[in-house]
Amino acid sequence: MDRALELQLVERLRNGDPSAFDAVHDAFNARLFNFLARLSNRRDVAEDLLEETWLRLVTHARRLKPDTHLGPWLFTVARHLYASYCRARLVEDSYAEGLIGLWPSGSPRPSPLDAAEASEAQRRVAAALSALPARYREALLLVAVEGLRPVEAAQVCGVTPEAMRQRLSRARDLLARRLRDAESGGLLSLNEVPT
Amino acid sequence: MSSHDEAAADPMLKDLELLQRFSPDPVRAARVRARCRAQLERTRPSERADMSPSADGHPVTPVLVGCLCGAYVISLINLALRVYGLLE
Repeated sequence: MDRALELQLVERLRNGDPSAFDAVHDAFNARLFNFLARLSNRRDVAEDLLEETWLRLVTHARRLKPDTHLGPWLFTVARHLYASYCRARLVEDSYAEGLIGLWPSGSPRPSPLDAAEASEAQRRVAAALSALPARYREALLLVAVEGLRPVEAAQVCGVTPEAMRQRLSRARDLLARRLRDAESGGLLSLNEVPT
Repeated sequence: MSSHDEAAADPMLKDLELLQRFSPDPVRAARVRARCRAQLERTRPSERADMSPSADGHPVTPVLVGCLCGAYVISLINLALRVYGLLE
């Protein structure tokens, strides 16, 4: 988004202009959803967190600083909401842990998000990405998928630009390794087919 | 070369850009947008009414309320002094 236009939108949001909200919503809604969906691997969670993100923007619109960068601001809120969700889930899961054995277990099914991946290659990359630890996954999502500058991604994740650079490098290595493992695993299983 | 350029040039990271993008539910998106617009609209007129600016742009309402409170306090003091006979 053009910086001059962004500053203008921030000013109009501060003045409570609904048409400015429309413009920001158009520019970021799909990107935020994609980020949250890839982070959580769940559509319903992503939808809920997305709604909460927009409500936060409206609630804080008047208190936005005039020089706010909307992209990093929104992704920061979305990320914080996801972190809060994970913390809440952790508490719930610890309570539920003792009950798990009582439930019948079935074979794990692919999530609807997995099923929606168009091609085998995309599925492989998506699987490798979703298997990365959250800190590396979010770094790749912000920079390589959503196109934020590393310095903006650092701001979103609350780390220094140097730490983000290292995190990106490590994330890239991990992703490459997982893709290699997936490929060799696939070849192995083909070799195991009896002839 | 910046790390963003590196990310753009890296073929594996380019694969990430090609990942299918998930789209939010349009019905829910429209509902959220309408809700947020309404919330933004609700806050706008009320604050403007509270802070109606004068010709030179300064808010009038707080000054007016201040003057009324001041006049009330002065009249209370005046009345108290009369009751105790300190003021003829």
